[in-house]
Amino acid sequence: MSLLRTLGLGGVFLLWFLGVGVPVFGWLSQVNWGGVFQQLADSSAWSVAGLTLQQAFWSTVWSALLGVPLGLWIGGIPARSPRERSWQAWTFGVLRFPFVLPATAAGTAYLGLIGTQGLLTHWIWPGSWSYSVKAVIFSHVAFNLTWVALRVAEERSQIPAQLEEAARVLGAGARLRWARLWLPELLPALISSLIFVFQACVVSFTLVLLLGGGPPVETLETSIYSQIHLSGGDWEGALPFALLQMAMTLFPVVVSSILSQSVFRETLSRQRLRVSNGGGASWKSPSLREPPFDWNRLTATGVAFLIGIAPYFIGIVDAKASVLRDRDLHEAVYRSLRLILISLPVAMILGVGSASGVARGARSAQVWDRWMARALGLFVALTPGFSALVLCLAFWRVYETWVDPFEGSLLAIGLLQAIGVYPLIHRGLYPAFASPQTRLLDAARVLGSSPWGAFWSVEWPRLSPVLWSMTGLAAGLLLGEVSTVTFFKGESGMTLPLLIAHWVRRYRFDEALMGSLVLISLAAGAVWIIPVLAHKGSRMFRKDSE
Amino acid sequence: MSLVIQNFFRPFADFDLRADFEVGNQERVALLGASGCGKTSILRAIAGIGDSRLESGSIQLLGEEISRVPSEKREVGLVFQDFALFPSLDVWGNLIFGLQARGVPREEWDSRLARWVDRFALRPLMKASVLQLSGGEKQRVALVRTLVTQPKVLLLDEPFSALDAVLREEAARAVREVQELLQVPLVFVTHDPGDVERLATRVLRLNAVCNPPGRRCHFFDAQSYQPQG
Repeated sequence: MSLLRTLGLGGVFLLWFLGVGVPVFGWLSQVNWGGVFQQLADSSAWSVAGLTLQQAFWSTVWSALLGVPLGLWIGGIPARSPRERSWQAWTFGVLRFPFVLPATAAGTAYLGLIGTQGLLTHWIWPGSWSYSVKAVIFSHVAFNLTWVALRVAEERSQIPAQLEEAARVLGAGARLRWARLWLPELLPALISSLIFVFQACVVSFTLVLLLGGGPPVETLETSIYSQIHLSGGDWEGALPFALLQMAMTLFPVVVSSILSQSVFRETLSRQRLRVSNGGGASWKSPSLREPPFDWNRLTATGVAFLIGIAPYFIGIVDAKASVLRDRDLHEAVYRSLRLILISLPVAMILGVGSASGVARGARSAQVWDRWMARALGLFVALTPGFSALVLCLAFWRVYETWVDPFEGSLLAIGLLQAIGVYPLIHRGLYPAFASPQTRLLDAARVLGSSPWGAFWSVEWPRLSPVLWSMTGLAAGLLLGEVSTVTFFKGESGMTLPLLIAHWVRRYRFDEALMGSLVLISLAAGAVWIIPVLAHKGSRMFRKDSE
Repeated sequence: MSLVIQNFFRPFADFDLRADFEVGNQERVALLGASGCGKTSILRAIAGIGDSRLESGSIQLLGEEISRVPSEKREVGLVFQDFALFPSLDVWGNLIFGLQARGVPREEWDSRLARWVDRFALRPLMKASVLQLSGGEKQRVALVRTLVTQPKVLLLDEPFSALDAVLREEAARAVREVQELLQVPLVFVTHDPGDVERLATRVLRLNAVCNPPGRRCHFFDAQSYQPQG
């Protein structure tokens, strides 16, 4: 096992350095800093940076204002009986769904809602929001508020009911319970989710391009794209935009890294407490007669669902089904699926290796393990600070002997897509890796099981559902990825999201909407089907081996 | 009687729970029965936590009907089996939580704490995280956290189950002294006859009957007995 672990960790370090470390630091070492500072003094980049900051700030604020109360409400769903637990799982699943929807599909649908001919434009807000900052903020909020709600709801649902009850018995009203019990528990997740939303809005590409036009609403990310692809590969012109964007995204990373120490402590503390409390279950008595559904929460979840995904379906009703027979569409789907065969395994290797390495290092007494854990944790914190286009730009500058964005490179796309997704996989897997069933593993070993046998019978049944669901989630996200494909696609390398964007730019909205429907179906299928199939396969395999 | 439970009824999936008993000021009553028979549910109902919509009957504390009073206004003290200490607060934060919640003036905090903190040897632990405490220390913090709020009834849910034999004896003695000092009714849940001998002045044993036929009913009533210890 230790050989496998060493190989896995070596793979993570190698891939991260190939995909992030070498490109970024290699590129920065090539920069003529004197020239850059001169460019920054004259550049229009500052006004673009101002607009980027403005839209990211307001998008984050609105996402918090709507997402936090929603998350608190939904997270309060009791989970005592099997029916309540399945209801809670279903609600969280609904909140997760918009998050994995491809940005291209979302952007296309939002156009159908707030574009010139959009429903809201027609019935509620006269005057199109198209190509305005308002439209960009609207789309970012609609796209991200469920993420904030989900994180808050997950944390809220993890607060042991017993603590809430103890606070009530001691006389605490709602305000004190919020301030002394909920807030300290929720704050780390809330801060990290808001930083995530802010970063996502700063580096947002597809939504800004579709809803903002990029120009008229131009952000740092779309400016980098313009400099590279529309100004004949002017990478030096893109540099001020890239540097300002890195400063903007890495600042919260530094803040979150400082906070992550307390987040880490809090998480471990809670896990320890749950273990010492026998898993935090407070209801030992026989199950109650099942209480009725809470219709208020159903309504709240329904609203989140509608804000998140209804726009996708509004325009699709009128779209042409004949588009489904389009040859371009078939080829784009094929290319997207082929690309996933490269990027998904790399993303999973990175995510699993990173999460298990950090979790193991945090528990280990060995200096080497702890050092590795810190390094891997730093990688996870740093990586979302580089936008996909900045990484592509750096990658190209450093490896230009081998890759040329205008000729296309499947390997570059695969690696960079995986790099972009792996921090999320890490975050999803970390809690599972951080709480191994040590006592049960010891028991299995004492009973004569080998290390692998003990892992297979104790840890695997617990880890595999999380692993498969993260695989599905990663596949869904990778299917909708646009920036890297845009940068490195060859003339014939149009994937499905790119084809949709291509149709939108040519005002072929019917085709774009049908393409979006296909993309949504593929992403949703990946998110839901991969975990189910993999879990069933794993169970069959276990039965055979037993 | 200080605590009166009359015609209490609560339906569960596979049985109905009924209770009818009274507890005086100087009594320490043990609810004795097998795991999962509904002992904790009685304590939760007295404390007002859980879903009171499913309950009927009356719960009176010092002559006042409390069955529809929110738990934060009932002035009962409940020590949870797993102590339920707040992990985000240190020992001091946990101890003053109830005082703050009930709006006790800050000037009174020290005097209320002083009464119990030294008796239970908690002063050196005041700044410690509750996660660093041993089982016995957690139990003492949970007990003092409840005592400083001066509850009208003291409820203990399997109070000694997390402690070893030596600590059990010590803890039982401390609780006995506290109850004699405060003169409030004490109801505790246990399935350990040893705990009954250590602490109880009276025992309410669970009766399981089928009424109506085919539907099991768990019944706590006045058919109690004095422990032999």
